[in-house]
Amino acid sequence: MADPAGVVDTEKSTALLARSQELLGILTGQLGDVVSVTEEAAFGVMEGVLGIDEATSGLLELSAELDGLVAQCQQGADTVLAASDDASEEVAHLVGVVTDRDAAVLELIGQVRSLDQDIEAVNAIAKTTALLALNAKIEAARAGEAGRGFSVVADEVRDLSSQSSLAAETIRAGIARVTGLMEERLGVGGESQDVGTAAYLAQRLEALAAAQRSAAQTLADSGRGIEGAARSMATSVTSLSGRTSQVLAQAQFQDMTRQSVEGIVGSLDGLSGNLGTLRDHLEGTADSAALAALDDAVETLFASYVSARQRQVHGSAGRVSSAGASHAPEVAATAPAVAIELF
Amino acid sequence: MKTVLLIDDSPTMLMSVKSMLTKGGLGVETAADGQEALDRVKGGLKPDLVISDVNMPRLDGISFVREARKAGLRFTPILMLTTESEQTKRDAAKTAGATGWLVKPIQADALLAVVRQVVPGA
Repeated sequence: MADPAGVVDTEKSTALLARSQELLGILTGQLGDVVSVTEEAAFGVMEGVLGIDEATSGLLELSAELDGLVAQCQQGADTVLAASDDASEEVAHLVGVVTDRDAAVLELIGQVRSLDQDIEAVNAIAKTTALLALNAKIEAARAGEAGRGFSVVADEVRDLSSQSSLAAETIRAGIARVTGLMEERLGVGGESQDVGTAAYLAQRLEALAAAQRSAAQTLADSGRGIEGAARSMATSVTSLSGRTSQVLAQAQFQDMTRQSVEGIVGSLDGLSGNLGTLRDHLEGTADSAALAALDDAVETLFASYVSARQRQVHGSAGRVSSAGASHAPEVAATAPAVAIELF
Repeated sequence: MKTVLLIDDSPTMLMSVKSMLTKGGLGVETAADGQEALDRVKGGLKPDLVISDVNMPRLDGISFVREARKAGLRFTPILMLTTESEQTKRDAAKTAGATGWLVKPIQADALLAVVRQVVPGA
C-alpha cells in the first residue's frame, strides 16, 4: 500500500491486514455457523420426511388390508344375494304348493257340502217311509186281528224312518261342523281371512325376500364404494411415498453445501495465514518467497469454486456409464460428464 | 436380504441414502468414516456391497477401498458416492479397486438401478 509520493505506510498497512485477518476469522465463523444450521435444518427435515414415509408405508399396508376386507365384504354380499335369489325361488315354489293344497281342500269342502243333497234325499225317503208306515198301520187296523202283526212291523218301519231322519240330521250337522272348521283353518271368511290365505303369505314372504335382496344389494354397492375409496387412497399414498423419496434425495444438498463451505473455510483459513505472512513481509520479518503461498490459497479457493460449479452441471443424476467394466454397461463412457460411472 | 455397508461422515447423507436402500429391500449398516468401516470389516462384517463417500475424516474413501481390498473385501463391489467430480480422483478410486463412481445428489431410482447392476439378486 503506497501513498501518492510512493512511500509505503507500513503501520497502516499492517493494521489493515490485521483487521482483514479478523474479518476473515469472523467470516469463517459465520460460514461454520451456516454449516451447522443447515445441517440441523436438513436433519430435521429428513426426520420429518422419514416420519411421513413411515406413515405412508403404514397407510399402504392399511390400504391392502382394507382391500382384503372389501373383497370379503363383497363376497359375502354376493353370497347373500345368491341365497336371497334361491330363497325367493323356494318361497315361490312353497307358495305354489300351499296355494294348490288350499284349492284342493276347498274343492273337497265343496264336495263334502254336496253331500247335503244326498242327506236331503235320505230325509225325503225317511218321510215317505214314515208315511207308508202310517198307511200300513191304518190298513193293519182295518184288517183287525189278522193285521196285528203287520201293525207291529209298520211301527218298526216308522221308528226306523225316524231314526234315519235323525241320523241324516246328525250327519248334516257333522258335515257343517267339519267344513266350517276346515274353512276356518284355511282362513276363508271372518276377520282372519287376509292373514291366513296363501296369497297373503306369498305377499309377505316375497316382501321379506325383496327386503333381503335390497339389503344385500346395498351391501354390495357399499363394498364397491369402499373398494374405490381404498384404491384412491392407495394411489394417493403411493404418490406421497414417491414424493417423500424425492425430498429425501433433495436433502442431499446439505452435504454438498457443507463440503463446499468447508472447502471455502479452509481456503479462508489459508488466506488469513497468508495475510499474516504479507504483514510480516511489510514489517520486514518475512522474505518475498513466503508470499508465493498466497497464490496457492487463491488457487485452492478457485478450485473449490470450479468444483462446485461442476457439481451443478452434474445435477441431473441418473446417467450411467461404464468404462469397459464387467458390469453390463448401458451407456458408453465420457467419464467426467457422467454422474454415474461403473469401472 | 442383501446388506449394504454405507459410509459417510454426513448424518443427512446417511439418513437419505439409507432410506433409499431400505425402501429398495436392502439391509443397511452405516459407518461415519472410512476408519470405522474398516474396523468393522476387520471385525468380520461381510456386506454384499459397500457405498462410500470420498472425503471423510480419519480415513478417506479411496484409502478405505485400498485397505478393504486387503482386509477381506476382495471381490465385494465398492461404489464411491461423492460430490467430487475430478477425473484424477476417479482414476485414483479405480486404481484402488473401486467398482464405480456416483456423484451426489442421487435419486433413489438411479441408485437402486446401479445397486442391482452390481449386486445380482439385490
